[in-house]
Amino acid sequence: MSVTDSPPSRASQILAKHGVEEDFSFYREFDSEEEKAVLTVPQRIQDGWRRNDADFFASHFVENGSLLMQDNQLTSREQIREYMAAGFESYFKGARVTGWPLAVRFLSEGVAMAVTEGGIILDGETEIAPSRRIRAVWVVVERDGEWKLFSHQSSPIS
Amino acid sequence: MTAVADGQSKLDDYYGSFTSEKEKGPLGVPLRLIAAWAKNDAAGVADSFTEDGILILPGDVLKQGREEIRAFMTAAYAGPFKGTGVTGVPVDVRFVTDDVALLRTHGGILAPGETEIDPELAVRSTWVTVRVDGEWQLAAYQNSPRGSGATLRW
Repeated sequence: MSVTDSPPSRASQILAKHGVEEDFSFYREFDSEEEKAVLTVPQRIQDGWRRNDADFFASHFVENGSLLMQDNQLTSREQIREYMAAGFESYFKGARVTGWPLAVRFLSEGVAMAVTEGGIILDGETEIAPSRRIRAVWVVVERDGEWKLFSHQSSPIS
Repeated sequence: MTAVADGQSKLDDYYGSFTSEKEKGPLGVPLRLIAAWAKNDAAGVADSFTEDGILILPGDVLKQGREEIRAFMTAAYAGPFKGTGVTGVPVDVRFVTDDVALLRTHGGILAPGETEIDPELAVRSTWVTVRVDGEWQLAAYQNSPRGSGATLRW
């Protein structure tokens, strides 16, 4: 290794950089440094929901990142930002999401996939409504030394 | 039209605007799965996946690995999926790297004897495909309701 190479960022460093409080219970059995770094992406996105902050939320996607929301297939960071900005002012106002990992796979150099279970908790609710329980696939990629979200889609469990 | 020309025409319809040889590589994965499903061939469906591939379907289905997928499909073809087909056309192909591609298709399950999808069964599918030893395989498949069945969720 040359002196200019830096080791990959650890989960705690990545989360601190983004001002996200690390949830040490989030990782479950996926607790290698590599898996934890990948799983900072769902934690960062959850924090975007908690903040109801569309700019922060969208910033964790790659520029051509994609997101399926209800029946709307969004295919760029800008579309995602606009959709979430509108949502946080209306139907997603006060909503947050929760989830936990079920699988983490490394697909190729700098490409990983996580499966999570969880769901959205709307304003005034205290838990995920049974009809809104989901499993999601997250494809994440390493860009400039940082894991970013390439694609997110959820499938209803019920 | 000859059977061969008809087959080529259907294949051209399937590829749509995704006509490059590079895109046709991962787009072969849904074709294999559709063909296996048409025969209600559980092992064939499972073999479309990587060894540790993941299948997620609405209805509380999460299967990890070819063996779980094969067992699930075997039971499904003896029960709820008996005689069904499946269809889908690509609407997006995105290469993450040369060996990882994300496909999106619109399609769904075809009731026995049907060639059109019941609107209630229409889905948006995402296929995470990887090239393993030169062969494109499914690292993950999931689908979600399309149209009016796509309720609010995250």
